[in-house]
Amino acid sequence: MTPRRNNAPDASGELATSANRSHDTASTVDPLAAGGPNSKYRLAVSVLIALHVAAVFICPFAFACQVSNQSMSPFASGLYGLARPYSQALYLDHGYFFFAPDPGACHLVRYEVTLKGDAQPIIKTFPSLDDQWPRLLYHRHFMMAETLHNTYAPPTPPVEPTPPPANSTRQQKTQYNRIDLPIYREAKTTYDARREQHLALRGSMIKHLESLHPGGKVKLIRVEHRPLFPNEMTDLGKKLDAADTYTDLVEPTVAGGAQ
Amino acid sequence: MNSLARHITEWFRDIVVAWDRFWFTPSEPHTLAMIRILGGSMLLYTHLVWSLNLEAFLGKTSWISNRASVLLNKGYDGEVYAWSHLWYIDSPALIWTFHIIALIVFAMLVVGFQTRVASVLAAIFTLSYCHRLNGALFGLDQVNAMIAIYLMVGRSGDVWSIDRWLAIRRGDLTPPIPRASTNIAMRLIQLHMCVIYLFGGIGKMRGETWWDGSAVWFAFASLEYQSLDMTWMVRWPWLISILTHITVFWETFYCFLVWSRYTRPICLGLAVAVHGGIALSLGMPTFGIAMIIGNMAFVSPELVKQSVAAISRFTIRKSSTNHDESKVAASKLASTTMPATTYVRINS
Repeated sequence: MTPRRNNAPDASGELATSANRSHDTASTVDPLAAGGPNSKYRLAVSVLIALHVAAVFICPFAFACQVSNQSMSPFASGLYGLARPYSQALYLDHGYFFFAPDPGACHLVRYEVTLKGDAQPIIKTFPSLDDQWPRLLYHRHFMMAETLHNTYAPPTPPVEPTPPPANSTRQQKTQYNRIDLPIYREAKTTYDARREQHLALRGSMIKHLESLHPGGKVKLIRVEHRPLFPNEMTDLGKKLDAADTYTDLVEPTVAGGAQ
Repeated sequence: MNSLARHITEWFRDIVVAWDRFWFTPSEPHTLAMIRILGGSMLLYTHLVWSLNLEAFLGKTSWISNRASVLLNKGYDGEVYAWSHLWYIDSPALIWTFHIIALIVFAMLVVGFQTRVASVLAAIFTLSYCHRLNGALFGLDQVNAMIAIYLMVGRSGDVWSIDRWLAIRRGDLTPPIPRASTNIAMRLIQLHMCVIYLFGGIGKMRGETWWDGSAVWFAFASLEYQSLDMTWMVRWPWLISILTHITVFWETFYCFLVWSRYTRPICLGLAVAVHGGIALSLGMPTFGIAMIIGNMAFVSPELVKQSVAAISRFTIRKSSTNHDESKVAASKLASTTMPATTYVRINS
């Protein structure tokens, strides 16, 4: 047997020697190795592995268990609550719903900069392959436009349920207190959070664009661009950038002017 | 009853042995090293692209302000479990300083210099950028973060690295040692890829277009994604529907079929085809390549080692052939300017 060159444990606590070249001797020097001496080490690492793999699984599972009305399976919701601190810290909290459930419309942002005086307003759209290169930089702008759309919540909050009158039945009062009011409160909390996210994102985009055009006022419009149906191309001869495939998603104005 | 208890006990024991074998069998580092080089290069490229407009993404008047970034990370319960050093700095000097440090760390990871330290710092920087730039991210960043985290676990610098070269210069000629930590890192990447594909497939199965065979058309018809015009396929609806069905079934059953040596080549081949297609035609070359890098976790270190050796031999042979050819060309050139008697002497 050749003399051992390096017998000291490394940073992971594994012994690295010149003798453990092949699989038959590795187990005698790697305390983590299967069949090796230190089963307590392996047990501890196994627990960590199991918890981590569980966290990797739980987030997309919880995402998949969320349905169209935003409600989630209680089991999935409970698990996600447990895993969330770890998952979010390690950027594991994703659904992996790539082009799912269906490839849908794409979203862009058109911005209009009104300059002082008689200067022509500047109207541009992002993402734009003309302005953003390489492709990854274009895709970053594309994702920001999609995020602005995905965070959108209309200016009108959910409607608070009307309390039952004093002479209502016990069942009506129970319906209000135990069902209608909690549903409303949860919807309101979600709405407030989304609206705050959207307004903050929208505000920072406007501020960024105004910093590029000092003195100008910026207005953002979300634009939805739907893909063509196959027969629109084959039978009607439309192109992918046909004008009627673009729709401005205008922010409704709340009565009183507030938005 | 005793027989039943015995069988159950044996079953549990078999599970423990199988678990041990799955996770703790020492593995050579070649696959992980290749993932380090390729995944590290993708991390470096990703962050280099931020450099093109760094202050627009991270500065005082960035696209996504620090406040918006924190809110995008905040759950509906009001809690934020993400963290980014970039939330606390907005001066151009500090942003650029930390950014250049990050780029150096990613470069160190690629070349395998101080790999253990570089891998930890690379993971920290990757996560920090992801949390700060939430809102401008997509699948590429999810895979980047996954690879960065798992590169911390194994010894990816044990081979094909500056660390290895320096160790050889110091006289340590022992070949790379198979380690359980390397195997753990590879298994974590493998399982994570399985989770990605499983839920990618499940998500698609909830959609109508993935069942009626039109989903791939709608992806090709999305102008904002398009980098190669594939809309000619509209005349071949059966081709579109085949691609659609293959995609969703391959994704969903990947996590079962990739483990068997009989079906693994098919799974990995389809991965290269699907992600290569995404890279070429849907304008996401970085995401496509990153997913292919993740799939590499299923390639054995022995095969990676042999492939690299074969490529090295081919390259050396090619360069020595080119060198010989250039020597012959040089001597021919010299002979055309020399007296005929000398020319005859060279050729004899």
